[in-house]
Amino acid sequence: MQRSFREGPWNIETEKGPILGNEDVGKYEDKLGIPMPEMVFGSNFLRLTHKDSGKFICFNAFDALSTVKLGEPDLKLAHTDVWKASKKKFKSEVPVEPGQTDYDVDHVHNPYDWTYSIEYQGTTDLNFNKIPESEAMKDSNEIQIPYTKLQRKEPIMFFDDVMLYEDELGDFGICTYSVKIRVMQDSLFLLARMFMRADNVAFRIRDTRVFVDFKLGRVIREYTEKQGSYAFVKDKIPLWEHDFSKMMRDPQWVDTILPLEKIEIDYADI
Amino acid sequence: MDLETDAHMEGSDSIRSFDATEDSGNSDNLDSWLDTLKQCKFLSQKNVEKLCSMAKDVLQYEQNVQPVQAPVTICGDVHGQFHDLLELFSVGGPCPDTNYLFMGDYVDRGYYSVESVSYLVAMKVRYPKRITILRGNHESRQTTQVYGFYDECLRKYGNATVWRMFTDLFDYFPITALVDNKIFCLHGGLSPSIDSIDNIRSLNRFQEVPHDGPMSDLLWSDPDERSNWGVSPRGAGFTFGQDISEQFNHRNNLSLISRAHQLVMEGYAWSHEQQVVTIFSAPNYCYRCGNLAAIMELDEELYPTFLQFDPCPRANEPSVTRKTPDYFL
Ligand SMILES: [Mn+2]
Repeated sequence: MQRSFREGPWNIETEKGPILGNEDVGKYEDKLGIPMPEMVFGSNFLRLTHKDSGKFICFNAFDALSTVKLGEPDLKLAHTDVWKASKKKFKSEVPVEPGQTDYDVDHVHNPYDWTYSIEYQGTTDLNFNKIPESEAMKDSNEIQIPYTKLQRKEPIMFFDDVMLYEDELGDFGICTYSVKIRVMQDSLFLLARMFMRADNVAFRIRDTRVFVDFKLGRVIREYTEKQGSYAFVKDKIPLWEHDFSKMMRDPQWVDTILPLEKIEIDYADI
Repeated sequence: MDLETDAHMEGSDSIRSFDATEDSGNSDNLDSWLDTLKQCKFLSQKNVEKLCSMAKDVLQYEQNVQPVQAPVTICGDVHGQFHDLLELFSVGGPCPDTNYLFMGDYVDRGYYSVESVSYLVAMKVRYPKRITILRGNHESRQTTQVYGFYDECLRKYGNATVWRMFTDLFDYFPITALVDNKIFCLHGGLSPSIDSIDNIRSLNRFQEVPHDGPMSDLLWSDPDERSNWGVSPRGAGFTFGQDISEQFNHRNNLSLISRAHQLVMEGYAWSHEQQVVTIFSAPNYCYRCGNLAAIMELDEELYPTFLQFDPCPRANEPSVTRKTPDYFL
């Protein structure tokens, strides 16, 4: 389903469809060289195009997944060491007979970040200027997203929520990437969120927020990383809450718990 | 997830729980339980207890490699999508006129795990020769505590007893099946500790799914395009290549490995040059994937026909695509 909103200086387009079929998954995997998440919403996107200049910022699954890191991942499953040790013990007790196939538990061919914890901040041809990291941390920083304004309940003229991908990490957690947008009379605000939970290991949230002030013609993009151990988050679940799994898969709640580890701000004037 | 719908559904649980079949335990009872469940009303705790004990009596005599005769219709993951399970039976034909083999993952993720697993277990007890239910990796204490079945039991029954009864019963489910000695069916895939089907017969399956070892592999592993055994990029768990499937099928005189466990857009997918087939029977998985579901009909000659189906539209099921605007920050 395609939707668009064309009032104001920006065209806003969203597209939502089903997950990729087997054939397309194969094409993505050939191009990107890694296994795809279980659910890739390949036709989904959210695109903002500035009417006068044609400049754009867009979020789509293919570009997002092309930023998955290759090489040794920095997280592994909670039971990996136990698992490997028991496999080695088994092998030493039952030697491989000639002609039988062998395996090497220390060797993962073609390793990649299986948690799909990407740092994707959108695909764009806007000329972003980065403000110094030390500035970005400060509350007094001149260029920042006006959260006080956004807390006011200005009428929303257009809203959408677009999923790019989701993976259940082989039933050991979850990873989702989705983009939300709301357009008001004189501004728009967008949140692209990567949420990852590896069971008994860790949580990660990587957010890209984009705020556009229509009058000023300024696009502000803020990127943040939050991270914490599974135990740390689990400890924060209120005692009276017995729907434990609901809390553990609620990005909004987890977001309030995790400590901020990194913030970057850049902006583009148009 | 649409929280409003979710809350609404939680509220309606107590209304749906009406179950007028409190007494005795025979086939009359089973038929009335099945009728109750068909209306998406869950059984009382007492009846679940009766049902589980009857099911144990049946399942304890089944084998680790349960023999099954064709014709039979083979199904993959259901994951608590109860209305779609009823749709599955209307697409595939009613049981016992059609024989069924389910390859696990009845619970978690969907909103009606209790109804789905109760229904399948009741069918199993009612028609033990007509339906086979294997164990999936979600039929375990550990997994159900994370992915929804535990919470759903608490929500619907107010305590964890029903969850305990079902997870105890899961230990009795057979782990693999063999159709006419030719088609090997299981939830996940092959294991490097298992060369021949006879290896499986000697396993002790009456336990929680372990974290590693052959029983765990059978319920968790995945086929892969790369040859040989592979270690999953997650660090634990195996993948198996086409050479492994070929060897296994050749050594055991099989024509096909039929498994579930992975979501596929078309509801089924061949791999390893038709040595392996994946079947997934939960349409529009998690109410948002837009995928088709499929089941595989095998005729007397073991010739497969795939039946695909769409989700069954229901007014009170959550719609994840329609969202109301919110003032996110
Ligand atoms: Mn599974």
